Amino acid sequence: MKVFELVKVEFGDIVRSNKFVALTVIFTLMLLSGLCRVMEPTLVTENQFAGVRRLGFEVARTIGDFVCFLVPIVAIVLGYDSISGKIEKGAIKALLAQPIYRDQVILSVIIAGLLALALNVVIPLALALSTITLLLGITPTLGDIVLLTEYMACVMVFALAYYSLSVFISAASSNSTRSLVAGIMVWLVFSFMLPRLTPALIRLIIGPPRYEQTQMGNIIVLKMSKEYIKKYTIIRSKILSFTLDYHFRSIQDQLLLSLSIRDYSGLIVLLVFSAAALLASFIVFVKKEVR
Amino acid sequence: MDIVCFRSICDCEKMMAIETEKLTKEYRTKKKIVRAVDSVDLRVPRGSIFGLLGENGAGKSTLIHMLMGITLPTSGSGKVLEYDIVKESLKIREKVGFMPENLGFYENLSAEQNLLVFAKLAEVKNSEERVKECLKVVGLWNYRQRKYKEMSTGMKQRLGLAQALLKDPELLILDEPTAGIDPLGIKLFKELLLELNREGRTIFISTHLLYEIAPIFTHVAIMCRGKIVVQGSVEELEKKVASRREYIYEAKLFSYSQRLIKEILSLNVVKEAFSEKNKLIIKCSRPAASELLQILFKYGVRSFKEILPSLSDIFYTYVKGELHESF
Repeated sequence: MKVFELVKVEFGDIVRSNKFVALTVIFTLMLLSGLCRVMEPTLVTENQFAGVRRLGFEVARTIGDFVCFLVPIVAIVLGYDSISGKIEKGAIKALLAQPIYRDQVILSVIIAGLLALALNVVIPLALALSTITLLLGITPTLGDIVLLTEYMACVMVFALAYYSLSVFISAASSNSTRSLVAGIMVWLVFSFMLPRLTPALIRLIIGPPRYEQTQMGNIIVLKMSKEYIKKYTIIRSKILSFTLDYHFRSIQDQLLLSLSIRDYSGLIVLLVFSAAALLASFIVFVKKEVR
Repeated sequence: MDIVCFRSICDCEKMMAIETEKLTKEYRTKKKIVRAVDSVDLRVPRGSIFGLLGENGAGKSTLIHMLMGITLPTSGSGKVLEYDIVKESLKIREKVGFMPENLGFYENLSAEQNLLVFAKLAEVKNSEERVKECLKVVGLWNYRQRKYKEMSTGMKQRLGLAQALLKDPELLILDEPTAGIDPLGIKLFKELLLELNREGRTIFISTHLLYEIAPIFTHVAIMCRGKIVVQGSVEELEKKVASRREYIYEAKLFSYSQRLIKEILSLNVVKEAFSEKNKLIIKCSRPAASELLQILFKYGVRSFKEILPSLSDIFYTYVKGELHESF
């Protein structure tokens, strides 16, 4: 009963905050502006079928890029002060002075945060997609709607993973600025640094690329050895599998390009990671010294 | 029957609202173990306005957090309203009204909404009515719709007190309640606390601001570097300090002369004598009122009194003594 009461209040406090409104507006506008670019006329003449395919591909690619970039930011910004901000502002002391257990407090904070996160992700996606559908004059089929719902669910899982990480950092630290910086650092490493550092790391591990000479008429062509490419791809996947973005991209590519999910491993990794991070936050908060 | 009633009153007076024994809290930092509270034996009588005095970092808030069950003690024991601070902390939080230092509420909710949340969490009966009463008591009724983030510091403190009063508690624990309040606000705050005390509530206040709220205390404990240096009723402590310090007398005369000062200084007990703003201040090593008056009468004295130690004298005597001993 107390958890339900607290969830209601926490959720109300989050959705009334400027942060929540700003995140929703920014995410929606960014998605819309990205999607509007697909309406740019192309010089290449295509038949109707090829044109629709190209448009569909462009929409999927744009959504995919924007979601991979923005969703982690939304999740981190929403979670970074969930615990540390409360400690800083003294709200935790006020709550803990009531006849309520610590696990009830953290559980309510997490549930309320997840509900707000769901709104923060679903509202922009739904708004942007319906606007673009109207602008392009497309009537979505039931299959399209099912696919989009599936996709939104996957985006939610991705957001959940980053949110859990952010809550864990917030619980471990007592300073919200430090939690925000740490969250953004992790995101930068996962999304930008590690993917760009990987080629250099692989080169350190397996050495420079090896080439094979092949004769094509009078020209000698240098082709990278197939064995090297195979090794490179395997090591690259292994390194990037430490990032959350890699697992989401694998699901997103399946959904947006092949229109169905065949390999659920990425989704399972994200869910297991989220559960572990939330459990760790729970333990850290319950054992935390509030000074 | 009357005898029984008399006995029960006596027992009640002897009963302590807060009692601790060798209560200790250690924090582990990266480099060392810090003892924030060191073997504290505290006794807070029921019905008192008890001041826990100490400088910043003396360990007052840590001690209060242990009493409220927010932090677990490293060793020692304690009871608040007869409930064990470790095993029955939930009961304590049900019964005690607590206003923490730097208290925060939900920023985007109004004063009334915030109090309703805390009333529901504390399972207060007729929560809406009680919230209304508490808002009126602390003078926030006209500001009940104002969002917490839009309130002034004084209003926030008053909301904190209203939150502590929601449970209609027998014991109120207030941690630095006057921090950030203007002088008028402090005056109203003091009046409110005195009124609450008259209703029979025990009030336990921690503060490092002696001049603001200290005059209302009936009992005090002075904390320094995690230890209780001294505790007792203000009267007892004044006497104790008086026996440790010099005796100061103040006299007003019709005229002042160097001869008078010389004559006073000729007494063995007098350490210092000087005139200041039409007053003659005489510092002695032991009580010497009669000897001084004999001289002063010759010069025509208008008034004569002993300057008793104030709470700040008590505080500085003990804290300075403790700091001196530790170096």
